[in-house]
Amino acid sequence: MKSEIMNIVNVIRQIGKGPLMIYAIALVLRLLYLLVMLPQIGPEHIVNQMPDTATYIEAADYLFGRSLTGQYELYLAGVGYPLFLGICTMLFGKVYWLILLMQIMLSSLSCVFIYKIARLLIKIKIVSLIAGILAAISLTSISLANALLTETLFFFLFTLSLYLFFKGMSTNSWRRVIIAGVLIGLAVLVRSAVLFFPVLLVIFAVLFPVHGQVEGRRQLILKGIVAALIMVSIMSIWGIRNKVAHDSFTVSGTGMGAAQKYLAAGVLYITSPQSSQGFIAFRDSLYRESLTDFNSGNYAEYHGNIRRMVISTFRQYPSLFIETYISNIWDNITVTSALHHVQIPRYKEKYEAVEQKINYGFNNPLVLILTITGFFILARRNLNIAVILLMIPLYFALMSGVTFGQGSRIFFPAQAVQPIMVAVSLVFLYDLLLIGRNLLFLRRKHQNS
Amino acid sequence: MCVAIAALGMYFRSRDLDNTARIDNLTQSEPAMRYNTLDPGTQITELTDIMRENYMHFIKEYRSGKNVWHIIGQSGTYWITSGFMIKVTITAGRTKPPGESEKPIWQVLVYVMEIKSSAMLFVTIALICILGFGCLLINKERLPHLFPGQREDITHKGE
Repeated sequence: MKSEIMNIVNVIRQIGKGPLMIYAIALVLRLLYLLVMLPQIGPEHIVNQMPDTATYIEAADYLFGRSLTGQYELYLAGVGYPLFLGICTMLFGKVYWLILLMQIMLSSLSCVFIYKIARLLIKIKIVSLIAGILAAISLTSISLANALLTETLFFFLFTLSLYLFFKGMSTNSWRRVIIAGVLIGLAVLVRSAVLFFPVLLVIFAVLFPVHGQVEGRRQLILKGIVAALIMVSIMSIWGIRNKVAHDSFTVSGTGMGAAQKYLAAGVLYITSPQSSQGFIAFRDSLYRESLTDFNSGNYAEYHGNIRRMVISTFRQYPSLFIETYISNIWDNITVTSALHHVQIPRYKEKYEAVEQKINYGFNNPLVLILTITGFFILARRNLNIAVILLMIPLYFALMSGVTFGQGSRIFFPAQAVQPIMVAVSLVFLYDLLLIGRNLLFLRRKHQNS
Repeated sequence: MCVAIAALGMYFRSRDLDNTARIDNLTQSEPAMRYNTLDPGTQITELTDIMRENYMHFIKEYRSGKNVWHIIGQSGTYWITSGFMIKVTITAGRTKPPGESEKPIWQVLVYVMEIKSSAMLFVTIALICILGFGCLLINKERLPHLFPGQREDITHKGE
């Protein structure tokens, strides 16, 4: 018994107090949120929180042979999350709060990986701790962990793969880089937002500092290319499946669909004389026009229709298209979490009163400001690491321009590194306070003498 | 830099006011409220007072026609804290009474439109400039937690 306790103590020592503390904070906050949320919405309504959840469940049922409909939903969502939902419902039945518990554990682990990425790249313990705690208390992360949406599983795979990739780059380990490639390939199948990430992996390899036990630059670039190729191979498998089944080589149909439903529709709405009917009605009328016979299972025509519509809108109104795209990015990178309005409706008035005071409508630029400030400070420590960290939110910002009005979930993947940059800024502001205090102290001392 | 930031703020604010004034509520939006009244004067005075005092932080009021009133305001007390600029347009039109001898009925229509203000963009640019310059100009030795080991004689007590 005594030796078992000692073993546990040793394991805890090996993990370290920092990660354990972050995991505990993240877990407790997410569990408390679940406990507050469940009586308010009722366990049976977990699936009704967001319209996308129904899509994932239908896709999962189709994938596991429990339903004959759902092939279009599977095409739209990609295979990753429906597979996760299908396995979970096989294990627990359709008890969805148990799936939320799993997501809560994954979300809490993601916060630990953010801490570890910070330890690896920044090498300042206090910054890493603050970064982990910021990730743990992020309202977007907490609310998404309690919703049946792709984000939490995606974020877990993404943060883990980033950590393994950077760890593999900073040591002689090929194994970690290969696992990172596999995991990020799986992440694309969950959420296609990282479809173009292979390019970034290679750029990271070019920028990653060569020092200590690390091999030369050529070896690092080779590692980056291998990880990128593994990622591309994994996502291609599902792309080929879609090509065979639906004559459409794509990982998920949502990307181009979003560009049509939000970006192109947004541009056409501005230029339309019938703009007083409201954007949603206008968008839905466009969407209905491009619909094809889904029951036939051939989505190539539908995919072609929406691609043509996006391209023709760009050709017709290039400057307005770019303006709308940039405006969408601005909105997405500053938008605050709003999912708790649906999940915890009973206290809506209380937190809305606070939100109205601190936000600009539904937006707040504070995190963005601190992220950019963090970049400037990091650039003075190590420019390459600063650029690597900045490229991740920048990539997701550029990807977010095709959609809008979906709250902070669109830019959520950037939180894999944003807390690190915000933590650096907070430590900088603390140091600034110390400078001010020192100056005051010296002034008083001078006056007294 | 402070002068440049202040000038930028003034430019953004005046641009917001111009854009808000340029909104054509009558063609771009549907009426938010509709009243029938025999006494349009009192009704419009009451409405403009309500809009000015409860719906927005009032900036200015003007008329663009005999029976068209406009009120411009912002969502926050100060422009810099405002997420939205608001324009309310009130029109009064005479409708035909059912009987010849009856007093004319006036239909009062209220149009409301909000546009996003540039205050958030301005605050973002201003703070990034200030903090960015701070980050780049302050000596590394003065930031002991971010650049440890750069200077050993600085303690937290300022000694």
